[in-house]
Amino acid sequence: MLVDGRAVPDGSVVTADLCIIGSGAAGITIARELAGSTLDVVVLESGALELDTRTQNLYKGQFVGQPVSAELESTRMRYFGGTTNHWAGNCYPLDPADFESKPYVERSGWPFSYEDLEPYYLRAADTCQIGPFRFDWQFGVEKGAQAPPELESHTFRGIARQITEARFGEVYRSTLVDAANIRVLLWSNVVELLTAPDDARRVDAVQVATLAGPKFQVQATAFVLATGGIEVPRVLLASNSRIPKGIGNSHDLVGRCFADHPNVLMALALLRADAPYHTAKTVLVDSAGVPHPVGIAMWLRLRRRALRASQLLSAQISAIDPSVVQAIGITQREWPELFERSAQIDALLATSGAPTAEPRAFLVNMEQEPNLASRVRLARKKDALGMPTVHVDWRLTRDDRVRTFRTARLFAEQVARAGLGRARVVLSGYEAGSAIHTDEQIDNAALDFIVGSNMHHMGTARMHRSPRQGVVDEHCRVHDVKNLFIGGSAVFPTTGASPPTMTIVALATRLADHLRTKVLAA
Amino acid sequence: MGAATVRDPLTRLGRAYLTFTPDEDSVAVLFDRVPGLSRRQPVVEQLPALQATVAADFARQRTVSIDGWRLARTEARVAALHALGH
Repeated sequence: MLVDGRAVPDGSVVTADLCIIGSGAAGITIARELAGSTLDVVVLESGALELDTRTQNLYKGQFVGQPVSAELESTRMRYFGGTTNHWAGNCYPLDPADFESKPYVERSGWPFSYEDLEPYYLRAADTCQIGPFRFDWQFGVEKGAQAPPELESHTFRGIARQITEARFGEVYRSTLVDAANIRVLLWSNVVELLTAPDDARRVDAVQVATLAGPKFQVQATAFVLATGGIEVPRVLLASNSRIPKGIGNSHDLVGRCFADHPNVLMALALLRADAPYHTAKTVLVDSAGVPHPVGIAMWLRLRRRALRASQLLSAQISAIDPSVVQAIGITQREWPELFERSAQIDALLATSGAPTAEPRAFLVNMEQEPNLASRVRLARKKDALGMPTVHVDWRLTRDDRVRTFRTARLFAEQVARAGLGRARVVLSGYEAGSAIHTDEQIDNAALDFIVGSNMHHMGTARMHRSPRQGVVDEHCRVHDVKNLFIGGSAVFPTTGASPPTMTIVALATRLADHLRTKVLAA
Repeated sequence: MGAATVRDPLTRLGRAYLTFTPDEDSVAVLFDRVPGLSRRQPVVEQLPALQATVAADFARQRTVSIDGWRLARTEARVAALHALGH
């Protein structure tokens, strides 16, 4: 059932077994999993079924750290379906190595393994409406996509991302609306989580405000906060009328370790003219008897052995069409090499009789290390509902930049080693990159190359078994609170380099099972 | 591609290599470090015959970075010899 929150009487109380805050990938997945059950579920959505500018402006805030070309409010969507209303649709799970603790990266690793999450990834694949649960290059080739097979090596593994067109708000609207046990309250903004007066470890209700005026509360046995990697810490920190530090923040971890997947145009390659270029392909896959289009895009990722040997973090690499370069904010002036041939390398390759194709650009999406200084915090400025806005202080460490450089260099070496041609490490807009000839020179290099944002907001309510190192436990429950759970990428303790949505959906599926079978079973 | 247009860029490449590897700025040293290279024939013309050595360089990470390009040490040395008139 759809309910207009503006029509709920001012000062009234809505009750439910479970209150899900947010109807993005995580919130919708949990509600969908519980549709038709005996649980009384309320989903609170700030917006309605289409974009509303005034509601979207509630996302306004400021990036105050690493420069980001987009405005904060444009990086997410605040209406039914959440950010799946404008996502690129890239689906690929985290790799097993992403779940492991790495001795050279503090705070790395998850409290469970890939194998523990895999059954939920299988269900997430269905929810995301992709094809078979396969992501290897051979699968891509079978579907007609192309990539140079020689790039697969002991350093890199070829992967095929599946790109879905599923917009959760459209695909699952009727599932939620038709379910007798689910009420979706639109135009309903949670402005504070209220702990019980006699028990600070239990959330009693949430305070809801509408831009039209009426305010009401929702009381429930359990709550799931699924509002994204920036709004989750915002709501937790702003819930400070009874607990001054905010809910879940007894160890000052809420909002910290904010992470994105930095993307960097990292290399220019002159490949043999006969080498197959990275070419994506759209194919029809069958989902529940209905064929629908899914894209297949060929990427490379670092193998676990290479990660460990070179003390790197995850990275995923793909060719990028030069025409896309400007679209993602890099101008020809900043990276002229992309549009120019190298006479020297042409000459070198010509000595062996191998004609070269046009220059090809390659992009890397990096994992950044968990960094306490990279954080979301409340600002003094308030939004139209009187809720503090946020400052997003995104930061990279020097090690993040060194790892990017080293990853680019490994790629350039693999291009040559495979006999495909030669590649140049040309980190976006970074002149000094060409002056680094030896490892020792990296230590003294500024490495101030341009880094782009993938708008993947993660890590701000990180998962860890210990409340001293994580905001939520391995079941996504806030350590300090018995009945408050977090859905979405805020809980990622280590982000890998994979697009986050499939993992968000897998975790939400797992959380739905946990809520149904453990928390709300009685 | 004609020989004249090939050789100038390679000279630039070779000179760049010698700039950050001054201890190899010697014909004798360079010939010594590229086994199998004949002094009787232009070194650039011998590069195709050195492809196995070049491949081995990449396999063993005997590589250098020149102007950002990741090259085999052997091909950089051949370019340096070319720049020195061989």
